[in-house]
Amino acid sequence: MAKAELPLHAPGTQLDKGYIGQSVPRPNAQRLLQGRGSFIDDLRFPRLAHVAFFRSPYAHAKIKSLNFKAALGSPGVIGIFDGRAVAEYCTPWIAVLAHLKGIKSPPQHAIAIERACWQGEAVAAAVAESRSQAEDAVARIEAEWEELPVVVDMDEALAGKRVIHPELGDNICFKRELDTGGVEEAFATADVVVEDTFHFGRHTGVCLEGRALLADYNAAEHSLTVYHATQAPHMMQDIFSRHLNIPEANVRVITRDVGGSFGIKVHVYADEMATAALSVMLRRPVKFVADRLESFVSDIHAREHKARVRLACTRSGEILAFELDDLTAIGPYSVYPRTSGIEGNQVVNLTGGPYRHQKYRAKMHVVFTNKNVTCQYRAVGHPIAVALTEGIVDLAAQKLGMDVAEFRRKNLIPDDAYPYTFPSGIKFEKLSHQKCLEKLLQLMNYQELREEQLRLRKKGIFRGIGLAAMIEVTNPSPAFYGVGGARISAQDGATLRLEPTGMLTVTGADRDADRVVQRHRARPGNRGGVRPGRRQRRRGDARQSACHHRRYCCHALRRRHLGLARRRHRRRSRAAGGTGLALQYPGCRRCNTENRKTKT
Amino acid sequence: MEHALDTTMTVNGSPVRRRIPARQHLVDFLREELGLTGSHIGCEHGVCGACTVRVDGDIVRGCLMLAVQANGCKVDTIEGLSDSGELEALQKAFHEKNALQCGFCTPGMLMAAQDLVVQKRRCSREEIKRHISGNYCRCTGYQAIVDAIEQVLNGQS
Repeated sequence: MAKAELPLHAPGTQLDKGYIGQSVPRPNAQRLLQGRGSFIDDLRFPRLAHVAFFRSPYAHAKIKSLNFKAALGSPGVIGIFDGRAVAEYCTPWIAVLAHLKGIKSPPQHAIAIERACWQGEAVAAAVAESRSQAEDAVARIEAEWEELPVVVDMDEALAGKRVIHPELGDNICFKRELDTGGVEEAFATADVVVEDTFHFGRHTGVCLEGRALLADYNAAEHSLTVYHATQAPHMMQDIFSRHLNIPEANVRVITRDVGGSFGIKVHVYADEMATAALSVMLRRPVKFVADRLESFVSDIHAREHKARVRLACTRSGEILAFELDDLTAIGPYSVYPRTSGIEGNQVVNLTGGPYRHQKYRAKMHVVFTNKNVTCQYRAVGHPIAVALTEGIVDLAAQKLGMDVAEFRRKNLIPDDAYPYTFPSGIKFEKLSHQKCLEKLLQLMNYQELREEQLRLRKKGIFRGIGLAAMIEVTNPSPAFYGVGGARISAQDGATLRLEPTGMLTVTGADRDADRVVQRHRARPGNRGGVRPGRRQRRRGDARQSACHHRRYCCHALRRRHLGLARRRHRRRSRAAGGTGLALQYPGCRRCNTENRKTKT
Repeated sequence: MEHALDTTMTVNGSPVRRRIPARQHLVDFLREELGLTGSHIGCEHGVCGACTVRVDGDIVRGCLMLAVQANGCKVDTIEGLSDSGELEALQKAFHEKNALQCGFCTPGMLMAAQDLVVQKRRCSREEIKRHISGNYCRCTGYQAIVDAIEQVLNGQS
């Protein structure tokens, strides 16, 4: 075992208790610490070409003409392509899902054809021998534009005086209504009603490493290997296969080190599809790494909302009902394949949160605008729903003249009320909001903080104290794939190999698989050991949107592989006469007994 | 023809002589021409610090310095300081404290932190924070990074 692979234990790690739940420094960190990681832009291939995109300077404009003459004469240029040329190799997509009833979006091409619908949308691609040469060529592309009216305001989009995609009839991508009934009565009879409108500006992830991929088409095999900084290699395998018309078995998506994702690198990006298409067109590897400026205008944005919330409660502080009217804008296209409708959908699901109430009415509109596209990003919809809920809950407490902690204590779902179903239909098995709140108030010395806040206020210092209750919906991937038509080649897997040396090699979800194996074999001082294997490079076997991939890999490892290895070893051990084995499986009780015997 | 200049520098202890386009950044030169891909490019305008390298003993932004400006200089990168063992203590502390997640900022962060280590003085957490304020980490929230640097500088755990 190489020195770098030895487990290094964090202070306080108790090996006899096993590895799961303990802090064990990651085996893959050494590479990164020495600058020996393998990010997409670190890869070097023979005949590697680089692509840079010519992007629309307008939010909405017709492309009257594109002139590539000067650009083609630029040093190092391999080719310049417009949307039509790339469309011959890459079919457009429509980002809708069957279970989001009524969702609509126009076809989106890898490179825009005829018009650009947001500032930053790629309308031509320059491929050259180096990125700087490709950028030089982009600067020489000449375009003639005809500016079109823009829709940038959400309310204006909803009103629909100007429609971005006339064939869709209006600017509404998706709408949802939810009504448990009884809301009208609850508000009519409530002692206290509060209402407010909240505005949220756009966010984006700003990964330190820009979006990146290196697509390598092999014309002899009609195969495509894509080295991709993505969170969803399994999904991308299906997407590349489907839209580039290459059999799925011939498409490999390899994910090595990724320099931050945060939900940014889990969507289909038009410029990335174009890069893969260009590799097919040019029959050579093509690399695209988004620079910082193009990241700002082409990485998905998120969370642009305007929401009106109402809350009804009794004089004694019992919440009766919530009402929500959410409006969110997503740019000119729903993002493929999981759509841009999910964030608003989650806001509807989660607003009202863990505050006990059974009357809820919500209305939500997702509208198109001439801005960069938005999609699911980190804790999808949660920050909006939580901010809305807590904002209106605070307002109600204020109006009642009740302490905000006390108001929450009165209304949080009691710890003995589970299983519990939110009015939106989300089911919870076992939560402990009341216990959490008490613990939190104790930890923060709530009362003292409040007193200090009062004292400081007299001195002109305004200190804020806020409380929020949130449940994060995690590990939900199976609910998003398959059901509405988003496909995934779910090859979550881990391989465990028993080497003749007694060494176990684990291949799979980076560090966690190792830990599961360690847990089941570990006895300090055992011979052999566990070596983290190289990750499989086939298909999409790499770090997936991590939580669910790990769960399945680790589960599979524990249930099947370890048991199998142990049984096989015992069979072989018996066949070899039982003692003096060259082959030792550390998890085998018999071997351990033999070891102990030998030592004593 | 691209304007280029004959340039000589010592990179990680080895002499390097190249004809370098005048417009090429130092970090592009290190990565593209010398294959030293440990220095990363995050923003290309001097904000994120992922490209931090050492030139004649001072840490600089590899994206704000032209490669030809390093003519006659001694350039050290993450690869060189890893191989020489100079970064060993910091690397160990970063590893133990999990002061990295995706690892993209890490080489630049280590180069910046080593600049403090070289000065051989004790630093407060505030001083450490100020010193690495030009290095973005989008994953960790910095606490573990400051912890790791503090441990190496002040011998605290």
